[in-house]
Amino acid sequence: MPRGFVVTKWTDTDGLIVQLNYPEELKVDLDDMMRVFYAHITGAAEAGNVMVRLEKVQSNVASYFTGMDSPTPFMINLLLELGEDPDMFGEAVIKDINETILKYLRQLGTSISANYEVVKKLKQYLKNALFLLERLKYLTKEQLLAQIFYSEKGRKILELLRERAYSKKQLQALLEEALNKIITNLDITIDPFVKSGLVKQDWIEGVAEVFLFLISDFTIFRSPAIHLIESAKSNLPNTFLAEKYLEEVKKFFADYKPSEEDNLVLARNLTNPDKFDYLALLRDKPYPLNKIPKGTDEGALDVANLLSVMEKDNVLKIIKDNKNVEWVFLLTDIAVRPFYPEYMLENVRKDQQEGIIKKDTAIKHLDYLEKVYYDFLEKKEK
Amino acid sequence: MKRTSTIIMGMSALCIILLLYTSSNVLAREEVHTNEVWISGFDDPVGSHWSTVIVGDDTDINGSSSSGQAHYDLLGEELEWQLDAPLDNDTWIAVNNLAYPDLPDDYDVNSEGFYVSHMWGDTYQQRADQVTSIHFDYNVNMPNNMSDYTITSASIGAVVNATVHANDPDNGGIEVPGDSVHQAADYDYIRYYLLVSDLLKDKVYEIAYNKTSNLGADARGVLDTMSDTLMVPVSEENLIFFLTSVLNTNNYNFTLTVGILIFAEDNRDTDRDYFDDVFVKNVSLSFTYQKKMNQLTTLSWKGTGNSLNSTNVLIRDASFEFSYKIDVPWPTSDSPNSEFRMFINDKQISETIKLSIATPNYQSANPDGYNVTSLISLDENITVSIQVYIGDNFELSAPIRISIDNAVLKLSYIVILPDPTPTNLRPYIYSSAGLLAALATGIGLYEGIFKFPAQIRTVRTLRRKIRRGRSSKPIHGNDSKTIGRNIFEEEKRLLDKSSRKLQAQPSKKAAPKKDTSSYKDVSPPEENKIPEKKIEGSE
Repeated sequence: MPRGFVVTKWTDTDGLIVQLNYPEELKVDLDDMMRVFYAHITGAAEAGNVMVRLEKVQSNVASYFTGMDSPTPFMINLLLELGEDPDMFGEAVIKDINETILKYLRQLGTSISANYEVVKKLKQYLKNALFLLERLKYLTKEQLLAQIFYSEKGRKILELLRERAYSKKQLQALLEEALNKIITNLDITIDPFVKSGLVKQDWIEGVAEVFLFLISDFTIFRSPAIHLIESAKSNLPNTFLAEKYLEEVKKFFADYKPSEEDNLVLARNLTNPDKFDYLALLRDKPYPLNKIPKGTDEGALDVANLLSVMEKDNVLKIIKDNKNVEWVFLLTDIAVRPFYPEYMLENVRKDQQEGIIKKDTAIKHLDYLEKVYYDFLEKKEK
Repeated sequence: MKRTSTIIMGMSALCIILLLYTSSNVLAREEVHTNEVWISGFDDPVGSHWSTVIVGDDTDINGSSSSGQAHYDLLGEELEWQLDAPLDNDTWIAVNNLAYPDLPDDYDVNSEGFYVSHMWGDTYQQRADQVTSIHFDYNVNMPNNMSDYTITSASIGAVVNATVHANDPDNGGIEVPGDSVHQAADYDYIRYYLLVSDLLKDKVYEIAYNKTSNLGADARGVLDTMSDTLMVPVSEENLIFFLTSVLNTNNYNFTLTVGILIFAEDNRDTDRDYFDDVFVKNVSLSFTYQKKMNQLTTLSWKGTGNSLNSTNVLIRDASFEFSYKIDVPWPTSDSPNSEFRMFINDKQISETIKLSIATPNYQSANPDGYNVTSLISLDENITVSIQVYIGDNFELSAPIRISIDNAVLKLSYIVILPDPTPTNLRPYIYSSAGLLAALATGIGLYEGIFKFPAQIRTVRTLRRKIRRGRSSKPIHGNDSKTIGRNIFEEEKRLLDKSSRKLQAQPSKKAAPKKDTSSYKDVSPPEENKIPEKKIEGSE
């Protein structure tokens, strides 16, 4: 489980100082923070991420630095256990968290009372963020797929494996070249691919390397919330709302065409466990805004803000009934549909004929594609 | 598909009628074989019909045989590496410290150690080299590919000493806290350190250091000497991590660096700092590493027997058994999932045997023998495989030998030998045989090809052609984006269909009486509700 956050800033007068840490009992060693800082400023001292292992606190640190050129150079450090890696949570989620923390930090000014309020809110946010990260370890299959799609690294891996099977070493080299960054732990990066059944790992006889075979693919798009539409057709929750809702859905889908940009928005909604909870809740029925469940106590969630973001993303729609009560509807459901990668057959055939892959690699891939087809067939029949 | 089935059904019916008609005139002779040993192991030496196949990391496991037994040798080992580099300038290459490129006045590597000497004075030739440093690099070449090993313990040690001017009335000396100075922040000091890095120095880790704090105090007199002192190492766990990290970049090589940095602060108007003899006397680095066993690696002992002809042989029963033992207890906590897997004609027996239950004495895998009747393939060599499957990634510090013996595949089968046929029955016999052959072909085609979906048939055809080294025509299929788009379009059509249906309903029609209670009672208990408030941006 992530241990906590340490936010430091660089000032010309005092050097590196700790802005805040959460939880407050988290011990911070300034020497260790300096090590992280040095890792950032080696080279061009630009904004960016580093991963550092800290000796004294026996911890891995996923650190983001705003750069020496920024008005106040902040360093946001997520302290992890030694066996943990930011990739376990998805790089995009960490990026979102860092951006939100920065949003709060930029609100800090000269007014002590105003700063007190900002820090209070920021600490509440950090508490929620830690809880969120913990929940990210337990994702459903559709969330795992969304996590893959939401991450640049995940999309690149998918793109490469759609071409052909690669050994781990080959994949790592291609990935590092394409993304221009070092991949520290490929096993953690490909873990969601294996867990979600997109990829099988296996040896090829005579080659002492593990290969990764793509055996399933997926697509993400908005789909109508079938259950709500069926209910609306029966004039539920009432005739007025049902008509309005169907009108909104029809209007939305008349112009809707899936795009990568919009799909990233959908993936972001799915990978956030809190948003996913509300998505799942609202798939069944709409709720009056004032009666929507709050969620678990542990997270101390800002539900209003969360729903507002989901509305902006066109996932939810607030509709007022004839008594002026606001109802929350799922405007569009999010569909993550796995499918059989039929294009792999031609890729395998072509690669093998052109000598790009070995005969044994081609046969092993076809073995897996044969086995997995029955799973797809079974699901389709169901 | 329906048409094929109808044809096959029709042909079957016709065959049955003809067989019934001719059966009273044709007599067949049966030859019964019971519990015939088809494949057995192991003689001494093991016969050529037994071979080994390794899939995965072949440095993990090896097949061998002795005294009429077959073995699986897991190649666990623990090795130790120790720094053994002569102290000379050919072995340890002096290079600049890129962060502090100014070099000290003198530096050398000799039998006494790593030596540096430097003097800085603010009025002495207006020198700017207040911070000087030198690195001595030694490129380590490991005897093993370290991607196959895990470092399990490591230690680092280094001894340093120094002699400096402390308080020379003529030539000045090193200033440390407590000395009388005009100005001071960091004072003068020597920093010794050891680094490990990959060859390109993308990853650089400090593994030990020592920084002087009161060397050169005025109270010591003209000269001050620090006797042999140990560097402060990082924790063993971190040392292991750093070594592992640099050896991940290059599995055989890394660089060990001895670094000395001299910091001479301008503490007086005419400051002169003499660092006379600065030594890193010796450096020791050693670590042990254990062999990694890779998950999914397998070694199979495969026995090949003769084939049986499907046209006149019926398998009644087939049983398979073998015995196994292990020379040391299996490391169950490190690898609970490793096991024996058994195959007949490359089809796996559903049961497996965990290696954790193996003992130093032979025990039977299944005293009753596995019933493998359904796995026997006809018209090809009958094979058995006994596979050791490594089910986890783990480290193994010593070899383990797993042995098998008394492997036996027994078959019970009937061979049908027809009697010589009377000449007047030949037309019936021939037509029956023809129809039987057609029926067999039909069933064969159905079972082998047509009962499978088109996609599977394509996969199999392609695989067959690749196996035989034949070329094949392009296979037309949609790419990933098109498939995704098609799935979306299909779901969108469902919505359009559903909304058309809805438009057909009169909109002002009274709502059907339906239980809407679930909508009235959706709210959580009062304490869990959020206050009614407008969502920012909801309008």
